[in-house]
Amino acid sequence: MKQKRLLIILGAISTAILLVLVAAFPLIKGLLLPDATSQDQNVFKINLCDENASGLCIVTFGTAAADEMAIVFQLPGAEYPAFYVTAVNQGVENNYSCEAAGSPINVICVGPRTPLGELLDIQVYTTEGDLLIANGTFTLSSMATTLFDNNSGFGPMGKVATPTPSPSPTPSPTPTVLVINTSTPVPTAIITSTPDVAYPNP
Amino acid sequence: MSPTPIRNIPVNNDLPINSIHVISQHWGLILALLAFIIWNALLIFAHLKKNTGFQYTDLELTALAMGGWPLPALLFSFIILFLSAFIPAGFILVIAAAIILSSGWLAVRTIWENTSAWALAPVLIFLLVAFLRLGFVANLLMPLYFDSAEHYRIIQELLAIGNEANRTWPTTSYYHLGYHAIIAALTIITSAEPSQIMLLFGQLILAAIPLPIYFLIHRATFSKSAAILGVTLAAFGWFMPAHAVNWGKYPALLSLVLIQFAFGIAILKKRWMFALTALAAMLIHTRSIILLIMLGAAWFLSFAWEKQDRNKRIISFGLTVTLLGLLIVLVFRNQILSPILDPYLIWVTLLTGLLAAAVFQAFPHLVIFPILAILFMLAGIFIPVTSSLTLLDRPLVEMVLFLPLAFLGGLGSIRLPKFATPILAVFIIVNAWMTISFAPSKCCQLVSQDDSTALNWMGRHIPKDAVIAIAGVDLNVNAFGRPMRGAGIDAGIWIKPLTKNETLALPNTTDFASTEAHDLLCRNGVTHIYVGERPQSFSPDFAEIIPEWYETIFSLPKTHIVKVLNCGK
Repeated sequence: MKQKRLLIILGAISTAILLVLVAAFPLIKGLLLPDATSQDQNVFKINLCDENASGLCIVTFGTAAADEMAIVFQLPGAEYPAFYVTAVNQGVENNYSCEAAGSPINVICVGPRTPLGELLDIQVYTTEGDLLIANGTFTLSSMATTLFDNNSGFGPMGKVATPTPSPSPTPSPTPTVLVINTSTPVPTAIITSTPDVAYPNP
Repeated sequence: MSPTPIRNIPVNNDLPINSIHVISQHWGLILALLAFIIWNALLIFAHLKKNTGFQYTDLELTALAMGGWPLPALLFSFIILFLSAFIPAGFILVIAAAIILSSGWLAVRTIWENTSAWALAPVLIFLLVAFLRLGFVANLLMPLYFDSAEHYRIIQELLAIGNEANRTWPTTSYYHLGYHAIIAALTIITSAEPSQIMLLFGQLILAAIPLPIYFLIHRATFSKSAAILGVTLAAFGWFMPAHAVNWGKYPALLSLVLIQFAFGIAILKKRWMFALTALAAMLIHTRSIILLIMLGAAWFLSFAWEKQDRNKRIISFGLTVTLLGLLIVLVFRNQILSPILDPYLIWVTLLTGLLAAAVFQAFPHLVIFPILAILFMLAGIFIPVTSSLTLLDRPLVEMVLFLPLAFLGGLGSIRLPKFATPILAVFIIVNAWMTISFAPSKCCQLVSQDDSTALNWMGRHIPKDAVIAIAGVDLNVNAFGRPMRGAGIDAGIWIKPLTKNETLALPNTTDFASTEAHDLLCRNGVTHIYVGERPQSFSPDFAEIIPEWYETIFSLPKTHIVKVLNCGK
């Protein structure tokens, strides 16, 4: 009888703990995974540039040398302080060195390549004083391959700083703009598909 | 096609490590979902304990309660959703916690003095099966098949009801809103991503499905080992119902738990509770009501059959078996319907048949009942209701046939020597481990990593008023009537739920190089074409052939987004 009661008590305690965890889950989640926006309210939030961009923003991501990636920033003005960038992906932090390119308000930062589809937590520090001035998190969804072509407006690059050694990221396929040959359209009808059986078995 | 047995090569070697990986990644959410299920089961158990006599064991009642948890869960979810339309999220959490803690405390107080330790056994079995099932979710980016995308969309619409500007009914037709309400409420409480909740909750539903059958078999046989064999068969006997998560059939799976509970409640003669359960089952999955009527009819007919004289019994039994045989032949010869039999063309089914035959003399009406149930279900797929619908559809019948079979197997096992039943149960588990993959099937994974990247890119770069052409096929689900037109067959089906862009499903064989196709796109205002990476996706080559009409603006090795150019020129 005692054993039964003990088991019931243990069961009830486990359930109570689970119930409390349910109620507290959002709080626990908030504590364990603090929202990036709450980390430092004074730091400027970087976004992708749009036509109304007024602060530091990212124009594009692109491929640089083998296994290297370039991040093209647009500055709010030519007087913006010199900076360098650290980017964290999968818990690995890499430094990206930056220099002006193309125009007075464009800066290219080069560092190790991150696979497409991965999250990249970017932090911008002033070269003098190592002060965090901007940050932002991006999903790397596309990479320009023509960034350093003669016509791109961004190159050729001068010296490229050696990135901090890091576990080599897996090379990822890069979106490309295809070079297409012109040909005459062939008028054919839309073929109606023959019904397949839905919900296939293994 | 039956599951391919791979001799001597276990197909689930990675499952335990995958389960551990999933638990370590989503421990908070899994804990919350488990607590949600167990809390609701506790409420049902306390209710049953208070309102039934001493003739029912705690083990029976807990097993049954593990089928009844969706009932309070649904009520709770409707309350949370209703409140969320008017009250800020923080208050909702406080109210939810108050409901959970107060009702939980009342339930514990009710059962505190008079509950045995056996009551915990079904919960432990549930946790064990849940551990095995959770490995399925490892490496999945989104819930599977095209049904899941529609579920996700409706859940998002329910979540947006609180938004003043968006108080519209989430679906133009009735579509299993009970399930969506539960997931939406869980999303509000846990702040987790609905797709993750769908994936994890689906596996936990699977873990709960085999348990209520314990009550039904134990009531019939008063044998623990027979009831446990029934549970084992329901959990591991066939690749159904587990394979249905590959189809995104979450509402139907959830209803299977509640259907068993409804049947148990009918045995307990709790009319109001039965009516509520039937209503909840119908809200979760419409066709549940048809299944319940079929089960009820089979139950009463089996009793009526037993009361007939010997000659009438022989004739009607012969007629039933002949009809069943005829239906099986009809199903087997029908290209659309024959997949129903795939999961069951294995030795386990033969074994359940032999076991059932062995106890026919002892429990004639209990053997006739599942046979009639199978007969009605198979007949249901031939009975047209509208021009495109039959009483039951092929996938539902395929995923529900395990229930009468597991009942027959459990019932029949009382003829086995005492030592043989546990050995048979172990053998069934080992067989499942060796021949049935617990991992996601390749058939139904529409979203790959490239697709995920493309969808993310679209959300940020494609205008909100863009219309996207996606690949679709016509699929047959029913024996009669029109096929399902333009069902999504690649990640394009997720564009509307994720990016809110309108989509237009076109036959996957559409020749975009033709003038007709380009005109069709322009006429329908299609601005982009999504080329996924499934074998049946659109072929990507057309953009290279006609650069005047198409421009590839995003390209990964197997996923492309093509812009439609020069409409009206």
